[in-house]
Parts: sequence; structure tokens; C-alpha cells
Amino acid sequence: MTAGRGRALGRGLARNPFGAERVEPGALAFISDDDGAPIHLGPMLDRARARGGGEIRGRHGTGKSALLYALAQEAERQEHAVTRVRANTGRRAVLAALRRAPPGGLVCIDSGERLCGSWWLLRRLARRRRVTVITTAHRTAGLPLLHDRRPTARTLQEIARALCPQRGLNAEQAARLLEQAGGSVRDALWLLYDEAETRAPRR
Amino acid sequence: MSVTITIRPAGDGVFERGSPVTGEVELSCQGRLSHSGVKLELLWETSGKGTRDSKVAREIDLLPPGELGIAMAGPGEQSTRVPFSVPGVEAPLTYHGTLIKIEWLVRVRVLRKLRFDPKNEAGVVIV
Repeated sequence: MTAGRGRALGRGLARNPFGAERVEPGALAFISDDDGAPIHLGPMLDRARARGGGEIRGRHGTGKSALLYALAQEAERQEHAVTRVRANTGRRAVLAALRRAPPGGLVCIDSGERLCGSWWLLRRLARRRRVTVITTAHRTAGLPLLHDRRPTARTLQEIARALCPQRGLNAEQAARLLEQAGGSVRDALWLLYDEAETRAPRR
Repeated sequence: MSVTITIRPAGDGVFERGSPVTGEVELSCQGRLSHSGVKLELLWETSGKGTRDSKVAREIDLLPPGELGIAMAGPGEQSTRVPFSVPGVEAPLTYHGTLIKIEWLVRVRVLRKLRFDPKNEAGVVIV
């Protein structure tokens, strides 16, 4: 992909290791817990099914959508019917997804905090349709808690190492970046993106 | 099954806007493999800090539905080479900005019914 880089327009990197395509949900091969250790998705999915649903809680940029994506992938790997929907497409789209899902299926709702006034109705519909709902939320959506995302500097360090081993982010730098980004791993990765662009040799 | 894309003429893979994008695709497989066609797409996609976007600008049928690996009998890897020439594009040009990047790709997919489609991509630069 770097072929002909010298002739392309612009003065940035051809590929930034911290670009959106590498940090978006599903792009990383692993998903870590707050201490940077990999999360075991199978047992978490079983817990959600046993409890009739679950929510992944956390602030902006803490990896809620990444975990939701990984759980959906795990369910598909186990050959379960999975319906994915983003709450920012509106309450009607979420209701349609719940109605469309087959009994016993899994409905993954991203950005569930946007449905703040509708959760009572959604939970009732999910129970009636016998589907398992897993959602991401900033505050409780009334579903059992599956995971509370509170990433630490170690989480950031592990992700940065996976994305760009050459960067060699140490614990102290990771803690400083996370603090600078207000606890958001996503924003901390954007700071690393900017740093990579700044350090790139100019053409 | 493997798909290898070689951009030609050999060099840095740079094409002037509007000029055809050319190269060769090598399809290798063990024994026979039936497919529903081989498609080649010339597409752009964005990367960087923002939401990603992409669009297929050109799509051509590289091979009609049929079988690969029928030229030789017996086991062992067999390959088929198919040259291609995709009509050129005018815009957007390849751009490596600090906030957004626009990349052009040649993507080849071997279509298989109810199966995983083997595919591969190669980058080109449109200036």
C-alpha cells in the first residue's frame, strides 16, 4: 500500500497504525479486560443468555462497542442467530430488529444509552419474543450487568502494543496519555495517531 | 485457494488519473474448484481519524462462472493467470493527509455459493 507514496497528494503517513480502520470495533483480534488480560467471551455470552440479556456499561471510549462486537462474533461462531442494530438509527429500527429476531436469537444494540425512555418497552418485547438482548450503555438500561468497562493504563498499553509494537508505550506514558484523554482509551489512541503523524518524516 | 494480484507495469503502482489500471491476477488451487464467477473491483476507501467510507468505482467480471484447476489432471496446485485492464478513474485522487487518507485498491473475489469467497486486495496510487 505504500507503493508510490512519494507521488500521492498530502503530507501525512500512507497508513497510520492508530487509524480508525485499526481501532474500530472488530478490528483488534482480542478484547481485554480492565487489566489488559483477554476476556473469555463464551462464559460471558452464556451468562447473558441465562439472565435473559445483559448490558456492557462504561463511559465514552472505554471499549463497550468493541466488546459487544466480539460477543456478537462469538455467538455467530456458535451458530446462533444474531441481529445487530445501532440505537442512533432510532427507536423504530431497534423495535423492528427485536421483532425480526427469531426466538432464542441474540439482539446486539450498540449505543443503547440513546434509548433512555424506551427500555421498559424493549425489555418487555424481548421477553415476549424470547430473544436475548445485549446492549452498551453509559448508565443502566435495566438489564443485568455483564461488564463494567473501566480501562486502565495497562489496557491502553496492551492495545498500543498490538497496533504498533515499535511505539513501545511504557506504563508511565500510558497512564499519562489516559489521563490526558479523560479516561477514554479511544481518545488516547487518537493522541497516539496525532503523535505518529507529527513524527512522520515530511516529504 | 489463493488469489495473487500483480499490478503492471511493475514499479510503484502509480497511475495517472483517467488511465486504465492494469495487472494480472493469479488464481491457485488444489484440484478443481467450482465458482460463480471471479469479480474485480477498483474501489477507494478512506482511513484516518474519522468514520470510514468506501465506494466501488469500477467492477468487471474477470472470469465467468465455471471451474478452476481443470487445465491439469491429477493432484497438486494449479494456477490460472488472468490479465486485467480496468477503465481509469478521475477522482478522488490518492491522498495521504494527516486527518484523512484516501486509498485506491484493486480487489478480486472468487464468488462461491454458500461458501467463503476467497479474495485479495492490492493498493494502487491514482495521481
